[in-house]
Amino acid sequence: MSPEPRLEPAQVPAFAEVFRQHAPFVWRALRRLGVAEADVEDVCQEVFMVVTRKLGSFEGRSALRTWIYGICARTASDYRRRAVRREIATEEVPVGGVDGQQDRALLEKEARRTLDRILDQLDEDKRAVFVLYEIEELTMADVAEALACPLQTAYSRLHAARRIVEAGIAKGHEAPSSGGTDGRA
Amino acid sequence: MDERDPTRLGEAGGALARLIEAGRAEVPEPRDLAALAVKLGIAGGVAGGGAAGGAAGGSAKAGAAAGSAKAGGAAATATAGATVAKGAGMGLGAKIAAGVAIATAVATGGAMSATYMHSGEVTGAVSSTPAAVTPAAVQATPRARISERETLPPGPRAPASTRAAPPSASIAAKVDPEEEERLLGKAQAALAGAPREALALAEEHARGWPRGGLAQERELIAIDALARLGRKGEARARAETFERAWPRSAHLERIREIVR
Repeated sequence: MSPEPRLEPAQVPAFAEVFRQHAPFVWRALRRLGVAEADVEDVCQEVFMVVTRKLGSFEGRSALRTWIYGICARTASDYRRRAVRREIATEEVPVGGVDGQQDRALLEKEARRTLDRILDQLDEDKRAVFVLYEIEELTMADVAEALACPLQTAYSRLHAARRIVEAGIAKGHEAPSSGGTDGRA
Repeated sequence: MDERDPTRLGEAGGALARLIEAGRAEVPEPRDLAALAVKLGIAGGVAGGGAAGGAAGGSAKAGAAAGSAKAGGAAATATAGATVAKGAGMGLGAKIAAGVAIATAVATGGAMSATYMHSGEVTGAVSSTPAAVTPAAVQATPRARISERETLPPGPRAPASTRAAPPSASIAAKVDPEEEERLLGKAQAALAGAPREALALAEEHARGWPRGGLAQERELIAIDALARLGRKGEARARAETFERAWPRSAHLERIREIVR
């Protein structure tokens, strides 16, 4: 047992506080990292179980947020590996008139679905870099830190991911799909 | 932002920027966060109405925020202690899980002690209330959901899935875990001798806590009660709904057995 330097109890943020501050972005990041809507609550719970277990030994070498993103990426990766990729039933779309706000929410949901379909084409490493940089807006240095890879590697993954995503857009993935036609999903 | 970092696509305009914007805009529902807080055992303050008010208030973070604001002052260990001391949920959760485990001929001892094992550590906050609901049952199923790489504490490995209860989701969720546990405890106790009462209590739970932390256990009781009342068709329909809502639930084996 090597004596790991630990933060004094007073320096360790209370778990409840960590949850309050970070749960919304953990949730969102997990979704973009490929966790199905039906599973995100469970996977989010897994992330925070890891956080709570390791919080005492968090050394503050990176920002807490960056550290948690790293846990998100690993947990999502595990999830993807074990997930029997079951088809998620398309969500119910309200029938009949929708007011403007519902309309916008639906469009946004559809846009997210399109985005996720495009992200599904990326391998895990590229997806993680793309999501953390483009969507979660970490700096590239933090992305590399969270994913425990050299900065240069992170850059090249980002560039490769961008090429694939842009090609996906060009191929018309943005057209609203009625589902089931995307062979790569 | 590092000067070497390229302009983000979300700022570059065009179709892709719109998609990325939409991706950034996703926020969990307050009730989802509140339910998650309950499952993680940090919702001690939630019971007092803090988060219930927060969830009703509608701010994305309100549910969790209200709950953690109360617990937040305490160090994580203190939170753990409080959660463990509460105990009621663990009792019920363990009981229901034990029922399942016994039904599937799996000893519950390991899971039970594992539940307590962490109570002195920071992890106690997590391992006590929520995960206590299913550990025995989870271990009883071959489909353990957590992988090896980022392993979770040995006892409560797989989190209990508590997605929305399929029926009656329209009623605002209560977020009082103790009351929730009491109610389901009564339902569980009534099951063998008075299934009709058990069913009524389960329905009451479904109305009050459609997305409660014990929604799966509620459904398990309801399905069992229906079967005991000879209402096999209803039991089967409800079991199917259960399977759709929680396809990887540890309770599925027991439920299939009930409706067989």
